[in-house]
Amino acid sequence: MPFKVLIVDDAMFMRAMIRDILTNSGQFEVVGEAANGQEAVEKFKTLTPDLVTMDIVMPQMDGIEACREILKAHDGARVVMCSAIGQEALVIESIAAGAKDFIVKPFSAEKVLKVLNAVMES
Amino acid sequence: MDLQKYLEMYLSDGREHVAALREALEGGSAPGAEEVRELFRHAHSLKGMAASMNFEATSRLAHSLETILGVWRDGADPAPPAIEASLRAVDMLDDLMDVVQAEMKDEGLSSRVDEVIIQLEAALPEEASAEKPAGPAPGTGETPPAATEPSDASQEPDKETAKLTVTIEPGSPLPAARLLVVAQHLEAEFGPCPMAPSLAEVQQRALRSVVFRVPAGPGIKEAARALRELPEVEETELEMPGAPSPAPEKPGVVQSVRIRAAALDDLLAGSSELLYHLNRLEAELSPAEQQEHHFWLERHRALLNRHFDHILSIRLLPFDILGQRLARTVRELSSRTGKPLKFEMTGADQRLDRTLLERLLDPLTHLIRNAADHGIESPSARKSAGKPEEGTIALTVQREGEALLVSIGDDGRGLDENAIREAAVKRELLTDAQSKKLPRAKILELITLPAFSTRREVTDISGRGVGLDVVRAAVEALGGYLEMDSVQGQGTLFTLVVPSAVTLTSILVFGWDRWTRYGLPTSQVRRIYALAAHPLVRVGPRLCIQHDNGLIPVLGFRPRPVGREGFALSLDTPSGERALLVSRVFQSERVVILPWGAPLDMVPYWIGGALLSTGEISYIMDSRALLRIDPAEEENVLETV
Repeated sequence: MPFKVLIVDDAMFMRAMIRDILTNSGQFEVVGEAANGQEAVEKFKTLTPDLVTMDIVMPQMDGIEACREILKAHDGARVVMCSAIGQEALVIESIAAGAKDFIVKPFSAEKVLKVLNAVMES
Repeated sequence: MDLQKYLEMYLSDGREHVAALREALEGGSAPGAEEVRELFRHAHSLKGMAASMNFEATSRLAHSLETILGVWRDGADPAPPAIEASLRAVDMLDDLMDVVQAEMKDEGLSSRVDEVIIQLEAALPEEASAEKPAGPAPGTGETPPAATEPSDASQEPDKETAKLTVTIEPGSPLPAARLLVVAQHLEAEFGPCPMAPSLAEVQQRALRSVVFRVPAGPGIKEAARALRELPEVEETELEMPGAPSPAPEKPGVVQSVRIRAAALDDLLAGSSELLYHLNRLEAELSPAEQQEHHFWLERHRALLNRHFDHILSIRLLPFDILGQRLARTVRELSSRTGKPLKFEMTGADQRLDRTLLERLLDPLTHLIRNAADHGIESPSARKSAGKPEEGTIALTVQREGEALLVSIGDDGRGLDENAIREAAVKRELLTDAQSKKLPRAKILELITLPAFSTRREVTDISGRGVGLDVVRAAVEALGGYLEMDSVQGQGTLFTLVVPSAVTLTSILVFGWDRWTRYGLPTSQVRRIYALAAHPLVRVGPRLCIQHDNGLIPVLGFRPRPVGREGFALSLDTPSGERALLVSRVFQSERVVILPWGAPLDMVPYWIGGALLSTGEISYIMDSRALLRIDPAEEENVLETV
């Protein structure tokens, strides 16, 4: 059974890229996508994914806030942040907020899968 | 990953971000707090997208824009010049989108991009130019738990706590964040584990290694091992309470030790001696005994060979390490001189001795700087000469026999041979007659003389030359030499020819008498001709040896007269096949060539020495170097200067 993933990113382009990496691996199934934090929080409730990939900088509600919201309602939620390089402070803030791990753009399929698998195993 | 299929999405998403940036910035008035947050978001998203598509220029520019927007977001007032610079960046981003649409890559505009980035950086308030340390995360009351603990974890562990050192891989983009993930893992299992240095310090100083204090209990060893499985965790090292000091022989404990390069040389020399003893031992045995012990002898030899390879590989690093630095130098020069420059690199996967690598940095940097400053013309001059506006600096690394050839070429204005000739006469380095007689290569070589190099006005005429004496000295200090070639109007090529240092090399041993042994790398020796069967003939001023397919010019290098019972070694040299006359040819064998120390290293054609299996020392020569010192090749006027 592949793990169910919700992809959150404001760029359709980034979502497509992540979706391809996950789908091609056979280990993950993308059950939904969200383009901002608000949408992510709502979709999490209905989809109850095993894992969320969460962009940090997004309109309306950013990824850190969304991560907090999700964790408030679902204690064991696994959220992995996606960030472009150079914003280490934001990534650190996310992890302090409860995100399990992070991946950095530009990312390779190999790296993404390694991080996500590690998160699923822990 | 096939990136092409994302291109359309990249462009539509990307253009949206650019349009949004433009709209907010062109508003006329300074953007408000909410607007700034939006602007930051667009720049940040664009950066991540461009990086994912390998659009380096776009991502770099978006990063600079993001930096300045981040400063505004954190409270600085957007000043009009900064808004102006940001708008220019947006214009540039638009252009980059066009280029991507047309060519599916964002190269070719990098010098303009650099220009815009410099303007953005100039518009940055001074204290903001450096990356901000983490500190308490902005905008929240929360702080990362591990970061705020007192940083006393490096103190001696008491009875209950163990010291756990965690090291992150060098390639990790955000090591501090990575360490925080590790801290969270530990906390989930053992409760809060203080770390030292603090997270803020880790971030500020870009550290990769910290020490956690972990309650020593059951499962800690298992946990330390499990951490190693996490992404980007390179190593963990556990020190239990009461343990006197980490035992170095524990696997995975010691990651690296610094050793002197000379210690490796000693190891190599020692191994070389071992090989000699093995050969002697074998020679002492009767054929029957050799047969009997064949298995162990061969095993011994195979192990020794592996041992050599190990020692050598410790010293070797890919040239690319240097290449990346030089590429950065070219980028910096491009933005400083305002000349668009392209850097091409071939052979960067060659592995080199690390000391050699270090010592090549300065001369190569120097040559690149010369190429950018003096070689490459201004864009307008290039355009009128019918060249592309963007100048090219090319770095090539290749091996030729035992030598390493590192070239820096440019497609600039080239050297003006006649100007150098005139200048040399004016400086009284040469007489008029000498200057006319001197071959082209020697004339070009003149610009590496200190008298030439230090004079600006000559440099400007010749198109090159600042500090070339320094480059030449650096190369010669490595036991090599500098070659140069240039076509006026088309460019210049400098080649550093250096011995590629210690390796296990097959050599042919020969000599001019019974006692002294000389060697040449067998890769350079094409054939051996017995002079009894291949007589010497005089062709014009030159002596040649005759063989079935024609004539091979004989090198004038001849320490002893060679009679008819001697041999001619036909050598591959850069000028073609040349014959070296020798009296005796002994054996060929694999040896370690060790560089001479002073003062023997001053003999230009000896690249080193080797201990032969017979116990004798052999002086190793190099065909390129032989060619250079051969009086028959060219009149060496330089020495009379």
